[in-house]
Amino acid sequence: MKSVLFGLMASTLLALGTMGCSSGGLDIPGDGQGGGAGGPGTTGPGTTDPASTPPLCTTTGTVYAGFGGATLGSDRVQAVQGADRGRMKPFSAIYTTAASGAPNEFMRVSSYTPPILANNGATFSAPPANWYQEPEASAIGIYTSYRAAFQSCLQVTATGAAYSAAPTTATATSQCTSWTRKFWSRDASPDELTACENVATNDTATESDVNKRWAYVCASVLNSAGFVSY
Amino acid sequence: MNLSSRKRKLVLLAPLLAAIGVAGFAGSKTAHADDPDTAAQNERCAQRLSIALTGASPTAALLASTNPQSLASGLIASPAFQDRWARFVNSQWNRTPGATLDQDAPYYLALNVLQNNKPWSDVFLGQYNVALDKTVANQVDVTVDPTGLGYFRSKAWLDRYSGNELQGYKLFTAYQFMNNTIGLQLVASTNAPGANVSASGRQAAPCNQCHYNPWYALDFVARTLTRVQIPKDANNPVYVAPSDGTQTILGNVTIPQSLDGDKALATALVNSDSFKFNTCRLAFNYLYGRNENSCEGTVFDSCMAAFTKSGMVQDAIATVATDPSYCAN
Repeated sequence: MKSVLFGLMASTLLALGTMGCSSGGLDIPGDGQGGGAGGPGTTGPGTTDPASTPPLCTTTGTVYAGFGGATLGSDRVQAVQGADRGRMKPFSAIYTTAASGAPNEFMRVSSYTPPILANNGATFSAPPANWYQEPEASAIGIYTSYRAAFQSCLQVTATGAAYSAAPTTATATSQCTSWTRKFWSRDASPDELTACENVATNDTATESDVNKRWAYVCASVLNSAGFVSY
Repeated sequence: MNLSSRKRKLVLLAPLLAAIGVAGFAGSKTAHADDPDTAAQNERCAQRLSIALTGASPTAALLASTNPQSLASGLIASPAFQDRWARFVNSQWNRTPGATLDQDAPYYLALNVLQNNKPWSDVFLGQYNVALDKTVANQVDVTVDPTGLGYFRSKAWLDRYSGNELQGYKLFTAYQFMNNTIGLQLVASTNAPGANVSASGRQAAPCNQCHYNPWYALDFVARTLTRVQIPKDANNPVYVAPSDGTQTILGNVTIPQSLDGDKALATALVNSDSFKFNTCRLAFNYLYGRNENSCEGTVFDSCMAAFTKSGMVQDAIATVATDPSYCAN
């Protein structure tokens, strides 16, 4: 079953790799950050003349002066409003003890807190006392997150008629639609649904335990950017 | 995390993904404000507000709300927010967690200011002292102290940033004053062996570009502060009064020679637009994980106006968190 696991992990990696690039407007011609090989002010093959690029917004707000006549905010990235979202959820949001009574994200969507998370704060950048740390995706974090998702999903798929038979295209579509909406708080795109269905009907075909097979499908959705980021 | 660093991560993943050739669930679909599923949109908004403001998964009530942003003020008034924001600013104003609890004086004072609904400027100008409790282990007390200056005069913080300048000028402290209040960012340079790092050596290029020439000239700013008595007692530094006369710093701010030079410096910094700007930038970083971008200037202006009006950092944060754009995509 390792091959199934690694295949599904790859799906997850691709999903995570897109985090922070989810709102468009990041590939901005002429901004020096992307959109061509040329830096700011350069033109040529593969680049766009900045002068011909329409403005990203009609107002950029007030210009503030700092000490020594410095212009504050001159370092602002050129991007549309609300661009560059998709932060990794912090450990405090994905794991809480039952004793605390506080909700957590796994509990919210699967009614189960994966026990594997209990001693894995450092894996998810949980900060020391008095400190803050912006979580970042890492290989170990993604792997552990996948294992946590799988633990939750084993509970989700342990019972219920929907998980008593191997996935078919029809049942996979139904479950994938349900899970993506529930875990991501949005509807999946057709491509995303197709990818999920492919996990259900092809990638996990060698798994003989149907409950476990459904759990792999569930985990591939639960460990995607739509759930692990906000 | 900024745009370029995220792109680097994506690039690093690309070869692995290409090799495996497995299609995944692209998280690339953008959930916009025009998402017809308003329940889903509200769920996403509730998650974003709760996690960004308090670090916690949203409550059932917040998730069920038809207008989660209307509940933001409750989140901002919560102990979880107060702790998380205090941790956040402490991490922005120090390179590492303190070696002792009282070295994290910014955390404790920021928390105290929020808990007592005091103006944000109190963190830098208020009459407080932050110190270890003398009777209770592992407890830090914030006490009212008429001689206090935010956390800037608290002994553990002063000692932490007293620096190692040969004549005792507190260059590091001077930088921390400007970094913590107005967000000045400088990168320390490593000198070649044998380089003249004395005050006269720093007057030569390129050292003078940070130490003497610009509006933030570190040596001139440091001259407004007390000095470390030399030789320095590393375990318990002693500070002596400034003796370099009146200093003109920050472009055109004149600070007379005085034991209250630090207060005059902090006051000049906190009374500036740069301080308000940095506070709103902190708010953006807290809520978005990045600086404001070019098209978010209008929201930023609203933040500046709210903070200017009330002086409360909670209002600055609320302005950004309750703007429709925060939950729009």
